[in-house]
Amino acid sequence: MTSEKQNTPSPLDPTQGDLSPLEMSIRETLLSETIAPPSGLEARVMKSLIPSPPRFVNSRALGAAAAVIMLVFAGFWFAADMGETAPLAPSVSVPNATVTEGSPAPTDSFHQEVVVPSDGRSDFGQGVGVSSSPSTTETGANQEVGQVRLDAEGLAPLAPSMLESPDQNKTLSTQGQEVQTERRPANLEVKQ
Amino acid sequence: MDPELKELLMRCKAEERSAQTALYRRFAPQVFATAMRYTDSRETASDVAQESWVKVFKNLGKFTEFKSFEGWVRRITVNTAITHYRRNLKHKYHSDVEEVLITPRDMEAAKQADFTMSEIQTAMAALPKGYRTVVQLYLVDGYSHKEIAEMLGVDVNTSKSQLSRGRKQLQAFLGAMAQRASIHDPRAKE
Repeated sequence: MTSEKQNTPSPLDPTQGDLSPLEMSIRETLLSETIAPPSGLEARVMKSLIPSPPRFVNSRALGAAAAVIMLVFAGFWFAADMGETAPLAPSVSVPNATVTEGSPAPTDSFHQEVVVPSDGRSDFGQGVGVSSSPSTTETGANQEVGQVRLDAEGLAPLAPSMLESPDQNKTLSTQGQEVQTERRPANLEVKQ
Repeated sequence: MDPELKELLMRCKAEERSAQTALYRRFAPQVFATAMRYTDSRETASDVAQESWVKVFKNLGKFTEFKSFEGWVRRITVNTAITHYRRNLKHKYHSDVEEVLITPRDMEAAKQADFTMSEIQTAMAALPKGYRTVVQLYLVDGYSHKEIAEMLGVDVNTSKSQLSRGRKQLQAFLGAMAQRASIHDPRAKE
């Protein structure tokens, strides 16, 4: 430690008037003290004065964006997984088909006959039971190749009026359209 | 204000690197000595001095030439050192307080003696840190008890009592030094 005395008055004029001569001497001595700083301090100070470059990437924002992306992907994955495994609505697709109302329904169900053209194309969705019946024969463009018995609940969104009058024979033409029963597995029975 | 210093400060305000280096080299010994008075080691004093210089350059625009630049820098250094002191205090403010027996002979010897820088530094270093801080702030750097109480986060009466005890201990240490010096070399003080 190197010390040297300088005649530099105190920049702070103390308001205290109760300093003894000894204390005044101590004060002046200590205020005039100089100590050579470590050699590396100048470099440290000058390095501290260099402004840091602007940070274009905020780590917090980056982390939040990554979390959002992960959540979005997780949501898509979950939705896709649910779509594959969950027993959702069976899709019944009968192109160029004529649906006719069948025999009066029992107390708790409604029977519907679906008349399928001769080409016999029918696409029944998941959860649909199809059974063939040889007793049904028809002629003409609307040849009935099968009867599909649908649960009344399955057709309720399509033809609510049919539920109101089950004793009447009605024909529901669904040519070129897709008959769907949503969220409820329909009990279909195809008779040929 | 010294015209040379005034021009140097103007260049520093313009963030001219050579001027900043020149200003540092001109006042670094005083700043480091002030930092040493309030710290226990050169390493801690270096940290305080570095932090003080960064504050000086950062707040140079607030400095007006009507003040003493040296005093302004010293005040920044003292405040930085006190902040550092309080940060590392952790409730040991009163733990190092000890009573020292003071005799009237010591008091008289202290008043009549002329002490060197080394002796004063030794006596200051012998003070408990709580006393030493208050004594330095009041006696050396001229802060009032109200300012000291705010800086240290203590009551004004605590500042007064710490100063009173610190003064007595300082005189006792210096008096003991003077008596030892006169015993070993009676002609030294003549």
